[in-house]
Amino acid sequence: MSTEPTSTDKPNEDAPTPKGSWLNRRTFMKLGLGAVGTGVVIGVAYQNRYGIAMRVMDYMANKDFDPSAFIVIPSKGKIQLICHRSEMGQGVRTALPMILAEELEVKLEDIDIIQADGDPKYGSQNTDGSTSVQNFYTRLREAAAGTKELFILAASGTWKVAKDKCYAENGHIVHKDTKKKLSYNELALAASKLTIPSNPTLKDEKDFKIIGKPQTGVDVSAFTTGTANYGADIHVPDMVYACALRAPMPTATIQAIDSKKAEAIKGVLRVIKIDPIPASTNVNASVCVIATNTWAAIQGKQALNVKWDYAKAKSRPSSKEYKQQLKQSIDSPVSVYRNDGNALTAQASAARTHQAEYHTPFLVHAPMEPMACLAHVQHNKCEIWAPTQDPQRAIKAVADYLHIKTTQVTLHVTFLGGGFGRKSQPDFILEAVAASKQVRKPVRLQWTREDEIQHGFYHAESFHRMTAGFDADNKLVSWRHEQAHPSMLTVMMPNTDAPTVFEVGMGASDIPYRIPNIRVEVGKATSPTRVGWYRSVANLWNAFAVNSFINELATLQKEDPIAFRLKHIGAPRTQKGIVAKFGQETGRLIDVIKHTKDKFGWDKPTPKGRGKGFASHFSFNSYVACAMEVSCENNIVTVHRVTMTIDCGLAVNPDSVKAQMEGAVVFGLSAALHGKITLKDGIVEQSNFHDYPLLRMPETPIIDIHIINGKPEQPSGVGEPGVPPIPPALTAAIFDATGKRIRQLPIMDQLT
Amino acid sequence: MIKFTLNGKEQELDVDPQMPLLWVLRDVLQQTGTKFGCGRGLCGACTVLMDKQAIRSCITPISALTGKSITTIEGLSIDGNHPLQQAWQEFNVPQCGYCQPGQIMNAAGLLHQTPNPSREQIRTHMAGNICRCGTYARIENAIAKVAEANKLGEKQAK
Repeated sequence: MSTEPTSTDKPNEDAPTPKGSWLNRRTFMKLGLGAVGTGVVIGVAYQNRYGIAMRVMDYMANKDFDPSAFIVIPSKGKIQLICHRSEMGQGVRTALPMILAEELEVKLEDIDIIQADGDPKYGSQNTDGSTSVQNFYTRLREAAAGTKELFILAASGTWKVAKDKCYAENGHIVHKDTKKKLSYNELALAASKLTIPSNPTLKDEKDFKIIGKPQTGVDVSAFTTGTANYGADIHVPDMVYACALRAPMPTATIQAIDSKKAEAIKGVLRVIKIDPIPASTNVNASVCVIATNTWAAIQGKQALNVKWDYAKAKSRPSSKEYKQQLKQSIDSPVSVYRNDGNALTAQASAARTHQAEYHTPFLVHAPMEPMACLAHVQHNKCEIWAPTQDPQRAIKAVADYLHIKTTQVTLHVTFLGGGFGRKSQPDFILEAVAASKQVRKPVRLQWTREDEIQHGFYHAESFHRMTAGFDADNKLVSWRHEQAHPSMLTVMMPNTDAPTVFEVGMGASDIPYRIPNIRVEVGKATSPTRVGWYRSVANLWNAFAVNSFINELATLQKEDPIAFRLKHIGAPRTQKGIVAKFGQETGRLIDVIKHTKDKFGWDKPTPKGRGKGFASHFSFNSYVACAMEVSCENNIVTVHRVTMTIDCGLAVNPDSVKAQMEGAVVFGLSAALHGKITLKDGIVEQSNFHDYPLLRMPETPIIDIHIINGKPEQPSGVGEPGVPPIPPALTAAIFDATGKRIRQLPIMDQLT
Repeated sequence: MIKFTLNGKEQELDVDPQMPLLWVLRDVLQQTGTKFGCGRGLCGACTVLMDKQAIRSCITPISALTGKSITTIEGLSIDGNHPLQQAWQEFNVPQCGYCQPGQIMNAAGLLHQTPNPSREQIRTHMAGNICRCGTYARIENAIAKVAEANKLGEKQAK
C-alpha cells in the first residue's frame, strides 16, 4: 500500500476511507495510564512509523483522532469499548461496539460500553445525517482487528511461537497446537510494548458471529429500570435549578422586567437576564428564574411580567402571508439545480401537460425529552452534562462565549431522550452556561414542553410546483420542479436566502427517472423564524412532492404507480450523487420497490372501502420503498398496514434497523397527519401536545419491515431514510380509497 | 408535613403542598426514573402508580398523596425482573428509552386493573403515553405477552 496520498480529491471528512488508510504516521496510540479498581489501565500503545498516510484533511476536528481511544484493555478488569456517537434511540451504543467486538473476538456481554465525553481524540463526534455506522464501519473494524493482531503478536512473543499459529477467540489468544491460552488482560502489559500492525486483516463476513445478527439493545435494562441518565438526571453538589422565559421571537429584546411576584415564590433565589447570543447558536434574549427546585423555577417563570421590544424585528410574519410569499417566489427562480435537455421548450410544445402544487408546513422536533443542561462555570474552566448530538460544536461555542480554550471545557454526553436534529443546536447548552456564569454555581436549566415547541429550529415550510409534459405518443418527455423553502444553512449563515444545492439534491434534483427534459429550480426564500435540520431534512418535502406527482401522473396515464415508476427508472445504472456520497444505484431502488410490492401483496384486490398507496425514495445512501393500506370514514383516516423495505447495504444490528423503520413509520405518519407549526406576527402559535398532536398507539398500523443487505461492504444510513416515503404513500392511499387528492400537509387539515 | 409511602418506604416531607409529585420525586427525593415530558398530563412520561392505579405525577399535587402508597419505576421490582420489564427485554422495546418508565408504569396500572386485557383494551389504556421513537407495536406485544402469561396463570390456578 502506498505511503503517499494517492488522490488529488479534496479530502472529505465523512467519506469512509479505503482499508488501512486512516492509520498514518502522525497517529499515536499513547499509553493511557490510570488506576481502575485493583489494576492499572493500560491503553494499547501503538506507533506507526511507516505511516500509511491518511489523506490529509482539512478537518481540524480530526487531527487529534486517536484510534486507540476506542478500545481500552486493562491488565485487570473488563475491556472497555468506547462509543463516540450520541445515543438518541438509533442504537449506536449497541451497533458501534458490535463492530469492535466482532473483530476483537470478544462477547458484548463480557465488555463495558463507555460513552465518550466530547474529546478531540475521537475526532468529530457529530451525530446526524444517518452516518454513524456508515462512516465508522471500516475504521472501527480496523481498530479492533489491529488490536487483535497486536495481542497475537504479544502472545507469540510470550510463548515463543510463530504468530500464524495463534488466533483470537472469546477474549483470549489461543495457540493452535497446544491449545494453551492467555486472556487479553494477561497480555496487556506485553502488548503495550509492541507496535500495532499497520494493515490488519479483517474477518471474512461469513465468519461474523455478531455483525448482522439481531442484538438486544445494550441499554434496555437501564431504560426499563429508570437508571439511564438523561440531561436532567445529573445531580452535583450545590447545584441550582433554572427555567427561562424567552423572547417570543429571536429578534425581540427585553424592554422591562417585573419580577416581584416571581421572587416572592418559595424556592426562587433570584431572577437574571440572559442576553441574546446570535449567529450559529441563536439564543434568544431571556429572563431566567434561578431556584432550589425545578417546580419553583417553572412557577417563577410563569409569574414573570416581561415587556418585549420588537423594534429590531424587520418583519412579524404570519403563516398565511408566508405561504403566499413562497408561492410567488417560484415565479422568479434564482437558481437552476438540474437542467437536462430543455424542459421549458418541451413543456411548451407538449401535447398534454399536468401541473400540481404541493405545500408542507413548518414542523417541530418534539423529542420526548425537552432540552435540559447542567453547566458549571468556574474560573477558566467549564463542566457540562448535556444531551447533545454535537459535542465539538457545543464545546467550541461555549469556549468562544466564555473566552477560554476548548481544552478548558469538559462535556459529558448523557443519553438523549430523542434528538431528531434538535439537539445538534448548542443553544440550550449556552443558556445554561450563561446562567451558571452569572450565578457562579452549577445550574441545570430545564426547558418546558412549551419552550421546546415555541423556540425550535423548525423543519422548513416548503412550496412546490410540478409540471409534466407528454408528447403525442403519450410519453413523459418533460419534468419541471419549481420550489422554494427557507434553507437550513441559515443556522450558520443567516443571510442565506434560497434553497441550497445540497437540500435540493435530497430528492429533487437527483430523481432516478429517465425523462429527457428535467428542470429543477428554486425561488428565493428567507426564513420567517428559526429553521434547522429535522429527521430526513429536505428529503421529507422533496419525496412528498416527487412521489405525489409521480403517483398523479400514473393515475393520469391509467398505469399502476409501481409499474409507472419502474418504467421510468428503466435499466439499472448508477446516477452520480449530488449529496449522497456513492451515487444512486437504481438497481437497488428497483429491488426494494419489487420486494415491497411482493411482500405487500400489491396485486391482490384491495378490500372494499380501503385504498392503497406507494412511494419510494433514495436518501443517505439507502433505498426505501413503502406501500400502505388505509380507509377513510367520516374524515378519519385509519392506516391499517404498512409494508416497507430498506436496503441499507448491511444491517449491522438487524433488529435495530427494523426498529428504526417501525419508528420512521410512526414519525412519518405524525408529520403527514397532524404536524403543523404556524406563525402569527412572528410568534409560534402551538405550545404543547394538545395543539401539536403526535401519533399514539391506537393510530399505529401493523408494520411489516424487510431488510435487504444490498451491498454488505458498505453499510449506509438507517436513522432517517424510512421517513420520507410515508407521507406520499399515505396521500396516495387516501386518494385510492376516496378519490380525494391531498397536496398539502397535514392531512387532517384537508379533511376537516 | 405530607406523609406517604414511596416504593414501600415511609416518607414525611415538608414541601409546598402544590408541588406536583413529579418534582418531589425528581428534585426533593432524587428519584429521577420518572420523567418530565409535557407538564400537562398529555404525554404519560411521568406516570407512576398511586395505590396501584396509574396517575400522571406532573399534575398531581403532593397534597393529594397523604396516606397513599406510590410506586415508581425504581420500585416496580427489586432486580429489574418484573414480568413487564422482562417482556420489554424480550421484545427489545426501547429506542431512546425516555418514555419507557411511564409506559411500563402505565402498563402495570392496566394489569392491576385487568390482568388479561385484550389488544383493544391495551391500545385504549396505553393511548395516554406518547412515544416519539414509535415503539408502540413492541410495547403492545410486550404487554400482550404478559397478559397471556397472566391468563395461563389464572387457568393453572383454577
